Amino acid sequence: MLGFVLLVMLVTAINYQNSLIYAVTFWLFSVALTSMWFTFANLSGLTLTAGHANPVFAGEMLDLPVILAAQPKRMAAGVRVGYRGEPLVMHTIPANGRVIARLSQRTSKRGYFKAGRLRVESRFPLGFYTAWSWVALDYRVLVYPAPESSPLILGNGEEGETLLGAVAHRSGEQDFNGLRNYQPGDSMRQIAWKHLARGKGLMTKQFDHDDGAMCWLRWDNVNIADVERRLSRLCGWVLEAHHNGWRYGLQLPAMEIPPANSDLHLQACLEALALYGQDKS
Amino acid sequence: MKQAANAIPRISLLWLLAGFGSSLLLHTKHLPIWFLIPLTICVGWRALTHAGRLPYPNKLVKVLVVALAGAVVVISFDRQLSLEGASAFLVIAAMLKLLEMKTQRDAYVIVFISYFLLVCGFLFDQSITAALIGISSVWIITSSMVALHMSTPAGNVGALPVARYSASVLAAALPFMLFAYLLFPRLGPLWSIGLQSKEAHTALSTEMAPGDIASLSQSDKLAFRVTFDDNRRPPQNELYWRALMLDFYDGNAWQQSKPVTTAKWFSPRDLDNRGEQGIGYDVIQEPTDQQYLFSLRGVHALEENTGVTNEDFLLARKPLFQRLRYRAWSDPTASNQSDGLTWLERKQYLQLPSQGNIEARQWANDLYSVATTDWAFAQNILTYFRQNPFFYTLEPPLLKDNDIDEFLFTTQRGFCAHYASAMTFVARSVGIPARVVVGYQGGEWNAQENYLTVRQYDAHAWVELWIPTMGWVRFDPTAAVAPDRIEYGLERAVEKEGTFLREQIFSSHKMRGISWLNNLRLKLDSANYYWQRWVLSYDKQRQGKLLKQWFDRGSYLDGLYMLAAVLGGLFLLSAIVLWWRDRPKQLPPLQRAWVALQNRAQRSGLEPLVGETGSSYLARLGQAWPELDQQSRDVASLMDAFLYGELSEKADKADYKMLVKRLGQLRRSLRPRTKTSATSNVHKGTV
Repeated sequence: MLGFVLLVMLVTAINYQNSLIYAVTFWLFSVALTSMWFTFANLSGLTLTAGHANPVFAGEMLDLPVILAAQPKRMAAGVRVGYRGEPLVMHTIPANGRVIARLSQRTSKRGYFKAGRLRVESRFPLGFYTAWSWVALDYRVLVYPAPESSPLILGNGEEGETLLGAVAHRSGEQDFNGLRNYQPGDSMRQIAWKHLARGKGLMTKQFDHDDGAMCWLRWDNVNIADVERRLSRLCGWVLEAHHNGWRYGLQLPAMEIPPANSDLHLQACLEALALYGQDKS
Repeated sequence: MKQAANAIPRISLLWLLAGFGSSLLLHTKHLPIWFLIPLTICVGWRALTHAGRLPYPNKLVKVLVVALAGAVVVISFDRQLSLEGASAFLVIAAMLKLLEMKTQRDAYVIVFISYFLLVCGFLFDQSITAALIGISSVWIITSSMVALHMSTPAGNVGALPVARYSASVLAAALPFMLFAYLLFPRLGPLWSIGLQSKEAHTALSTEMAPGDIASLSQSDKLAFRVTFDDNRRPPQNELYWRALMLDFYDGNAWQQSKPVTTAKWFSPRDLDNRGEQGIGYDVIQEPTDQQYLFSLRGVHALEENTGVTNEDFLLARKPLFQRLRYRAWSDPTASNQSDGLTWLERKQYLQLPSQGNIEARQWANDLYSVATTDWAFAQNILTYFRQNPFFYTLEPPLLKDNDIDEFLFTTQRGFCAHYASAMTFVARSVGIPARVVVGYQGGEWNAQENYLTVRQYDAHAWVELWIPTMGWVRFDPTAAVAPDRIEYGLERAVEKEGTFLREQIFSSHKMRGISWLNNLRLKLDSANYYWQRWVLSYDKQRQGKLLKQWFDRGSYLDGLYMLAAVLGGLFLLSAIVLWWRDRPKQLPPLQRAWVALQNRAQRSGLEPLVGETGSSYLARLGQAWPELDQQSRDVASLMDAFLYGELSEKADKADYKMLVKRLGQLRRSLRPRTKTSATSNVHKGTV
């Protein structure tokens, strides 16, 4: 379109022998050429750094923050970043400043996430040219197996039932001990709801064995040949057990994590499942 | 999400509206006043849409508005295809596009229309002011493109950074623009354009009725400007700028018997035919919509597309719809047509209506019978004018039939046209071939810049008579009546009457008495003159001359080659600038030594950890290379002392050198090891 407009202007200038039209035509032509330089210079020198990404389960969207940092005294305007297949997001990075672009990608496989290449482009300042680059950022973020909610009925331990396929080492016989004031972080299951309903405030039930039931989640107890589905099943169990507040241990071929119940423990179990059979690096 | 990416950022919409508005500035003069109505509606509607108060207009509204606007344009421009009408159409179309502007693509359409409208404005006005308006308008329109790409969904950018950035882009584009302007081949018009401004230019007409020139004299508009080669300016009373010859009298007005459209066109061989005597001059002539050019007597054409007619007038090949700069050469002393008139020419220059003005004819016969020669007869007529109470006036009484009788013997008040008309009539009636010449006489000399400005009020008419043995001789009856007109110009000649530029109350030309004001006027005038001489009239001839002067190259193909070379050179230069901007930055020696050491250790697997201090890295290095344990400990303590310890200024420099040296030594004594794994968590990529 620009070329057409310039041509029409040039013909007008020639036919009317008009010096000012010549001048504007050449100015715009020159601007069109010069803006190539500006478009390139705008993008060049931009630094992209992978931000911290939180692990997700396979199949979920993985948030991948990209830190865009501009050079001192050099603004990077109208920079659009995005992974293939996802919409590009546009940011203007002030000189010497940084901006975090929140990108995301859908995950499919467990293990360390391979982010692929990222497109960085800019049409600034005039939109006549596009400067672009493909950048591979290494996120080293884990994707856990997609949890499969088990069709089995899971005992809650209070009634002393056992988790099918798992062996309870200790029955969950817990004796009600008393009430104490609610503290943030207390399990929902332990809140004295009746008490609350009577309008007597938020209280937490205390039991003799606060650590709840204990169980082992074993590789051998899942009767599925497919490794991935097996891991998915185990992943579902781990989450369920954690959610229920049990102490649980995970046993995989050539690996065993002793029973516990904490966020760190959950993370260790999920990591073990995610990396099962894969090179750790 | 896709939609959002293509939407126009809010801030740039305001830029687009401003850019569009600024491109209309040069059109304000010829657009009818009612144009404000649709303009306000369209801009207002779009602004309200922008503010979220109004929806976009639907299809029916748009069709209605298009039809209405088109009809009104057609009506208000008299259904004539003129430049004004065409540009009005363009403005209307742009306004409507403004209404439905939604996406970036629409925004670009508006941007390009704005540019084009701006450029069209230059067809009406090429003054310095217009150029300044043009520059600011280009700036605003370009800024709207910048704003289009600078703003993000997250936030708009202020006006100042946008304006500053677009200014830097425009400035960076200037060098190549200049080269292109100078070197790009200037061609003649590709095809003749029917589309011209319908605004009539003030100029001499090809018909002279009594009073015509008097009305022209009320205008202070520029007619042309002249510089003389080597500053050899002829005396003021010799500056008779000839434009047209009127040789046919119908009893009321003088006309051309046939339109003069051809001449002996210039060819480069003619250059040698000039005589020794004479002067060259350079004229910049305002558009007249006619073919005539201005020249002094005895003219030779010096430029392509100009030529000299049989009657010694300079002519252009095409009517002057644009300002034209040309050179010519005149030898006022040369006699012309001394080889006599043909029978046909004689008939042409003796033509008179068979009836009317009996008294004048009778009087002429009486006068001729006592005159010894034709020359003496002519002198006697001038004497008659001088000795009788003739007045030179801008307000002559109206004449009825037998106007020459009435003028000569009753009213005796007239302007140059009356005197010239009467004298020609009288001469013809006794058989002396005669013709009326119209043009300009005199002009205002700018002594500082050495050029002559001739304005419409310098318009003049005089007489040429055929005198045997002398050829065509100029007689100016006005000079006999009002010598001041010839010596000092019109203002002095009609001073007592007070009619100079009476219709123009605020003309700066009436303020010549106030010296500083007059100085300012002359300064502005000379600025305009240089603008026209060096910028506006840069054309094929001027370009060829420039190329010849600077590079000893004449053809425009050479200009194209040079332009290509300049383009290549600028590309190279900009690549060098880019490389220099992003060149690897040299680190200070200490950092360099440290990075070198780390790189070497890293190759053997000793990866630096995130947030690790230098000394703890050196401690791990000591573990990995037990034989270097002591050495690395020493370096670590030296480094800590240097970086964190308090040392005197003087010791600093020596320590610095020492540390760099020791780091180097440590690096050189590292022996490769097998890899041990350890990786950092964050990886960087640089574009």
